[in-house]
Amino acid sequence: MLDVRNISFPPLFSDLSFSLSKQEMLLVRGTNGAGKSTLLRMVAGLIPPPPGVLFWEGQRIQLSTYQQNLLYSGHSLGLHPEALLKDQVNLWHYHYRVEKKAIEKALHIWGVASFDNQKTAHLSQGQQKRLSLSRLHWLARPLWILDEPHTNLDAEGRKIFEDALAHHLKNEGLAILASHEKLSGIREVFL
Amino acid sequence: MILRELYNAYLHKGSLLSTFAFFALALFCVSLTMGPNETLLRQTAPGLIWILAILTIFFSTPLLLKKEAQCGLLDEILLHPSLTSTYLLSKVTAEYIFIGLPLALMSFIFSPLFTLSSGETLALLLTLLIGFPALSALGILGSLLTLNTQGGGLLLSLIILPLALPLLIFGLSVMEITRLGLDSFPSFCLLMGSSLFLLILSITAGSWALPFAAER
Repeated sequence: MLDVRNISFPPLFSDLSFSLSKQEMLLVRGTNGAGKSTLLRMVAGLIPPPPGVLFWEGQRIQLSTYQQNLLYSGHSLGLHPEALLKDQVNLWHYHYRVEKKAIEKALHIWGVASFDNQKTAHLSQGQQKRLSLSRLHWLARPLWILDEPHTNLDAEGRKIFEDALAHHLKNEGLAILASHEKLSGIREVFL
Repeated sequence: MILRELYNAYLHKGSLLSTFAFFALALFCVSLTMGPNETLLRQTAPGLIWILAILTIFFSTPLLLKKEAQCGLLDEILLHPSLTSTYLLSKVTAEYIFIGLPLALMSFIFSPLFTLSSGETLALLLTLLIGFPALSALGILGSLLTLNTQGGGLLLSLIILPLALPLLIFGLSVMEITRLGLDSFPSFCLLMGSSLFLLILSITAGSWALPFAAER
């Protein structure tokens, strides 16, 4: 479903190819500074890839159409610096045109719904990560591109994430994860 | 997208209040330092108010945009199906409503300090209202170009300030012609034309600069 052919970003990586089908997950591993985030940003189209490198459903991608199939979560969490949690919900509602109830339901699942009147910037790192990852539950996209999704999550948070990921893959989703940790039983690209 | 940007600007209300406070204090202090000479005050007021408005916009816009970029909000924009130019136009509109209109209103309120006549005050208000969309767009363009640089403020002034000069020149010529009691319509047209041209130029250049600004 997703084909990446001979993607290069010198001097970090060159002529890297991989493909991903439905219900498949790929782990991008590497040391600090190896280019994991850069690769993910290129696959997400945030660093414009050269033509003829990315293919979606067998077709060469048209960037804005392709990007409507993906959910990207990077190092920056995408939370507004001045927003209360309820403001953040409103902002997502306007940006993604998703029902507020769906977002609030996801916040309950991630255990952050009770911070409604707190500034997101004042939440702990782990709580901010949970808030950011809550989009896994309310933004239905087939391809997840997640950069270090486990960072700052406690055991309970990791469990919620693993459940969401398993559910996503079961429902014919695809996922690319970057991590410097080894996860067992997952196809890997090592940079 | 427009709703998102309006809400986004509303969330920056704390920072905006300090922007307005800076503008009001600067106007007040300038009027005090000019002394009681009414002719001098009337002659210099339009230029001073315009320069203060330009500086206020050029220093407040990058701060807001930098905060948003650091939090990864520009990535969200790039992944949105709307064109980047739609985002930039929405941002200009939101800045116009949340920064431009209040600054123009404050200039109107503070105009008695500079002993401006009602005709001059009205002309000043109109020139600012016409010029602010282009100023906001230029401020956003400058912010995007200097987002990942050290000492971005100075660079922004060097790159963008010269581009704002046509607005300043035509805005002040409107004021001068109004002060002399002549027909200021042609000057208003020139101001509107330059404002529209700079708005289009900034949006086009900003659309190109946005992906590079988000790359960190």
